[in-house]
Amino acid sequence: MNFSNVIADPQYPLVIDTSVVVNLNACSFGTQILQAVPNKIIVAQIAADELKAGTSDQIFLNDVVEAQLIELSDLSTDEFEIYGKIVGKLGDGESATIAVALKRQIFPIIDDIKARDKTAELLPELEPGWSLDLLRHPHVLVQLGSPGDVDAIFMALFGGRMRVPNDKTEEVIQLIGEDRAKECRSLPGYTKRFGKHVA
Amino acid sequence: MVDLNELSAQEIGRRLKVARETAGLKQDEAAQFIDVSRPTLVSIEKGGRPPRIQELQILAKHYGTSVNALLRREAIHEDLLPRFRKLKDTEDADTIYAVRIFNNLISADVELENLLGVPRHRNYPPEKGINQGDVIELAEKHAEELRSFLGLGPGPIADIFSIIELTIGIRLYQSKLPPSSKIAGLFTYNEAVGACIFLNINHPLPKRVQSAAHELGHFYGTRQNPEVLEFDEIFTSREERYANAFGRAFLTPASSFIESFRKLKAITSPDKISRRLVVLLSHQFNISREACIRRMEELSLAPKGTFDWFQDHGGIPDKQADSILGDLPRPADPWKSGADRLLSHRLSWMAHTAWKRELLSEGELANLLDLTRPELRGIIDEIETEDKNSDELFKCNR
Repeated sequence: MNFSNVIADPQYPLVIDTSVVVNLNACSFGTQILQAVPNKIIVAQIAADELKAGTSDQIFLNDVVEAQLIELSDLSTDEFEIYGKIVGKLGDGESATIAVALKRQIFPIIDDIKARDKTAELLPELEPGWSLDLLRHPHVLVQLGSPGDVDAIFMALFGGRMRVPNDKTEEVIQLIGEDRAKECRSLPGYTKRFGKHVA
Repeated sequence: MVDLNELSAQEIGRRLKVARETAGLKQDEAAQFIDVSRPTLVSIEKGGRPPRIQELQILAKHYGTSVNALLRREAIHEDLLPRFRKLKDTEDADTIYAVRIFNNLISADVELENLLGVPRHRNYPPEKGINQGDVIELAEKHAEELRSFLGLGPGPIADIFSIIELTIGIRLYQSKLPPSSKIAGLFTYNEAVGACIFLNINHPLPKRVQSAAHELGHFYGTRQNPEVLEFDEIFTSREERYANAFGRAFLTPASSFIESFRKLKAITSPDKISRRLVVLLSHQFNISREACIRRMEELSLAPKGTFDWFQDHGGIPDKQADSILGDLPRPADPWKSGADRLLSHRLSWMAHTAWKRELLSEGELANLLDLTRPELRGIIDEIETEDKNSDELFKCNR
């Protein structure tokens, strides 16, 4: 199953990793995006605990939890068992996110390559989603309109250094434009395309 | 129970104990966190009773670490902070803060080196011990011995940091501490990570040179004990007096220092110490003007109280020293120019490589390096977007 099919169906909850929360905050439209996505969105409490106290990322998460746009969730006993098997090889938040996805059979959104590989190993039938999928959700595009939808991607890349899949790089550059893409050093193949970054 | 992977219950217990002591918590307190008796916690720490994953998670949270750090096979768990805590009078905020920074740097450095297979050579002379004899005489003798061991000869040392790091193989870190911190340097040693020195980069180069030489004295004479060097510390213990004297003798060996002094003194009035002489001599030996005058006093080249006299008569201001030195080249201080970086270039490069090879995930690295995600991503992207020729591989013989 492909993630894009799943995200279009609001009955499937999504579990998002710490790195995705950081990107949502960085994109400046995090609250509107979460309001627009009809799926229930879960963050494992362990993943939430990774955000340093007092940072803008932690404050953002607190706000959207309070607004009931994200549900924080403790791990069940079974989920802890899965977590215990993978946490020696991945960060606490990444492991908790995968454990929730695996046990509850819900869809993880996670950008780190090593964590995605682990997810694929444990959930071979599923390709996990990227932060980018949330930002390009059809409801989000309607909610943000233009140019907000594109500005959100630029800000996530520029301010949050969001990771995007290699095969979406061209599409992303087309969206934000070459000039703004030059400011986004986290884009795959940045140097090959734009040369050495000059601050 | 936890899937122990490649770790024994004993190793997990040991790591938990180190983490608890690093957090400054007692066994009773830790036992309460996971609702077990103290003997059960003791059993967990001894490896008798493997911890449940939920217990590990709660303990990690209270200890200010992560479960991943406790279970990651390559993670370094050494009792640096607990060893410092056992030192008398080190339970103050400045020391604890500095030792935490030091501890984090060492753990990250050693783990990344191990993970990437980066070799670390050690050229350690044997520890000398200072139990017998006059410590000042001992320090002079040992400093000369170490210079001989390193093949340095009696002349001024151009770059003590490279000698410490590259010639001897001591781990050397120079980082920022809060401006109010009284910490000048730290030293620790254990077999697993080797000898490590930390210097407060806020201090000017001559001060850090002096601190480095002082810590080198601890390494040479009494390396088994951790050490905290404070700014303007009064050296009362035998170990401290030794390290202080060692530092001076190592940087300014009596024979060459006296010879240089005499050459300069011959130009000026025979019965007076001029500011020009102090400035030129301290510049020649790459030491502070205070250290220079103190050494003159120690070697009876100047009467006792010379430094105090200068202090009472306006000292030797930087501006005056600059005017005397004119266009003479000043010693380079590359460490200082990198002081505003979150991580050193070397640590950044190792972190990037570990991420690129998928040896560590973003979550693991952020935790290991104590960085936020955007900070970590910034470091990774900095290397990713360097000139594409930076990592071009040339065939070399070694």
